[in-house]
Amino acid sequence: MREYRRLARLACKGQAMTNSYTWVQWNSHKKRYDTVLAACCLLYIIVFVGMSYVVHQGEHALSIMVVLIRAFSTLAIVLLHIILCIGPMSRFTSLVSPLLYNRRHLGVTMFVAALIHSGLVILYYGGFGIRAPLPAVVDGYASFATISGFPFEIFGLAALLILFTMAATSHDFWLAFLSARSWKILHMMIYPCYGLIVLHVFFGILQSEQHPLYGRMMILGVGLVTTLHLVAGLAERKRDAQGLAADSNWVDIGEVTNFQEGCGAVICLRDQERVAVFRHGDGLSALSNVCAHQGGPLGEGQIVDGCVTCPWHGYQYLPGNGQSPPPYHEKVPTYELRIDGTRVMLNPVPNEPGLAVKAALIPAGNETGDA
Amino acid sequence: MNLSSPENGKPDFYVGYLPTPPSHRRFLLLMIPALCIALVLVAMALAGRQRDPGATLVQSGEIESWSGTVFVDPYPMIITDDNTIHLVMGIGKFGVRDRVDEFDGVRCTVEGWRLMRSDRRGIQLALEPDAIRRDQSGKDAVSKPDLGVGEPVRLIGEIVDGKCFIGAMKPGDGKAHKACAILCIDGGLPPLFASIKPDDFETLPLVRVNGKAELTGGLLRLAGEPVVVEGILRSVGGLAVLDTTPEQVRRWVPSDDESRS
Ligand code: FES
Repeated sequence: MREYRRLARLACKGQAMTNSYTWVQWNSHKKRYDTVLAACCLLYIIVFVGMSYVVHQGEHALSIMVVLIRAFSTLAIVLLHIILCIGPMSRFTSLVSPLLYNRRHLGVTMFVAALIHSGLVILYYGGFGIRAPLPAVVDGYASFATISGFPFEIFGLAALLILFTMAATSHDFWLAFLSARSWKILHMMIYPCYGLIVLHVFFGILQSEQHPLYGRMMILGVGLVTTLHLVAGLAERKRDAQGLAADSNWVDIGEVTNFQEGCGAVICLRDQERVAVFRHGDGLSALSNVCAHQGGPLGEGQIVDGCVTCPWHGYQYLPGNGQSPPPYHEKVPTYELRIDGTRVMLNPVPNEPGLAVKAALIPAGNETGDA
Repeated sequence: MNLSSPENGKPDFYVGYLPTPPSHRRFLLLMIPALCIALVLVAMALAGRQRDPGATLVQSGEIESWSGTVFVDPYPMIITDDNTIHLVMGIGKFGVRDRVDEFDGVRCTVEGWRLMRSDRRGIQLALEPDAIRRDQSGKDAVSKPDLGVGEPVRLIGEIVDGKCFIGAMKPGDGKAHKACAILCIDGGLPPLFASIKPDDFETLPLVRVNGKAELTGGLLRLAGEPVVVEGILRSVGGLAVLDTTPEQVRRWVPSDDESRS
């Protein structure tokens, strides 16, 4: 990944750096994350395979290929649920930040599990016959009018194509190439993909494995993902609805002492983008709350080494101009602030991204917000 | 949970390239084992509830040989000296009709691997050209068994491919296996009828549509899913044949008078 923020952080200290793309810029956290992830996946597969042969032994034993097909498919579904829960959970607690930080690796791992599942299915069920394996599986029959005859493999294949597109464009090169907005829209395809996977399961294995546990677990998973998204979404919407009216030139955003040294504060403005306000030393600066990387909430970040640092992946911006420190090019809009007595006033009209704005100086005697 | 770090009063702030703050470290130390336990429980629950694919025997490794009389219809088979009927099937998803045609009614030796599910036996014919050859023992061929007039039946179950269901794949039935069943039957493997009634599973009759043990067109698409079949069930010795027509096979619907479960 284009993991240059650490280098940018060093840049803030005047150290040398590079902004070139590499396949993955490893750091110790990513190594630990991937090690734990690989170990968990391996553990799951081993337990699934082992349990399959504990339950049905000897002449009743399942074919190993069937067991592997099921092990990888269920692993992919479990990982997908974890991936989908991390986002809304991060709205409730910053403790899940370590999971969010490297979520792309989780996504790619999930895609690999789904790919292995599909490859085994195509080879095992579609191979060794009179037709080519892929058409034999997805076009071997079709009776769209019935549940029992519905070609559920089509849903799985469509989901796999979406997962492939997302995994292939997960690198920051594509984020820059496609623009953050288009990239985000592309990666929101995870939700239709999830729907396709639910349909794949419903029209597929739930039609032949009739133990109620499978249906119940799927309902539980869908319920959990839906509930978390609804609760998080409604809370965010409520926050926006209770935002400050931005109908005058200057909006009162609170007492100077409300702003803590080195920390961000998110200001919600009704019908407008949120604003991130940071206190750094004697000054207060305001930037768009939307990180130029993947739209992370800058106002939930902190000042690290003099730079506003995004809580999601650590991209950094100079508080005075919303620009990433050289040689990086990301910019976010800035806002003007002024201080009236002890009140902080915000001009709700955003400036061009990267436009330098003087920090609003905090009058002496208002240091309560200092740590 | 209090996320403030004691030194500066600022909330703990996690960034991947910085040292992990204490609260996040504590959370990870709890979460990772919890996640592992959850994964183990989920894997055990999902794997442990898979349905029993049934008892089958699949031989691998050493090639075995059988001697007896070969018949091509209704499906290639060999009746061995102990009067057991073995359906002869190819490697992969292919039938063997082209290899056995010339041996109809002839006493032969057949080499391959054994497949078995209850009374239904099969042989996966080895690839060598002489895996089926005339038997040199001098014994006489037996005559083809007479299936008799049979009795009319109405069965609910699934048309499966004879190779997977009797052991080549486990499970070799159900929705997930449907595409494979179609490919197998289309490739010349025998269509068998697996009834939902456990007692009928012993029989696993060969499905013969208009006199041929083949499924084509719309009927082929019904393989691997619940169907209702009407026809004449004839059986003799270990051989059972369900004679039917395309009009007598239809998709099972919940309103049918017998439940699947
Ligand atoms: S650093 Fe990725 S969203 Fe801000």
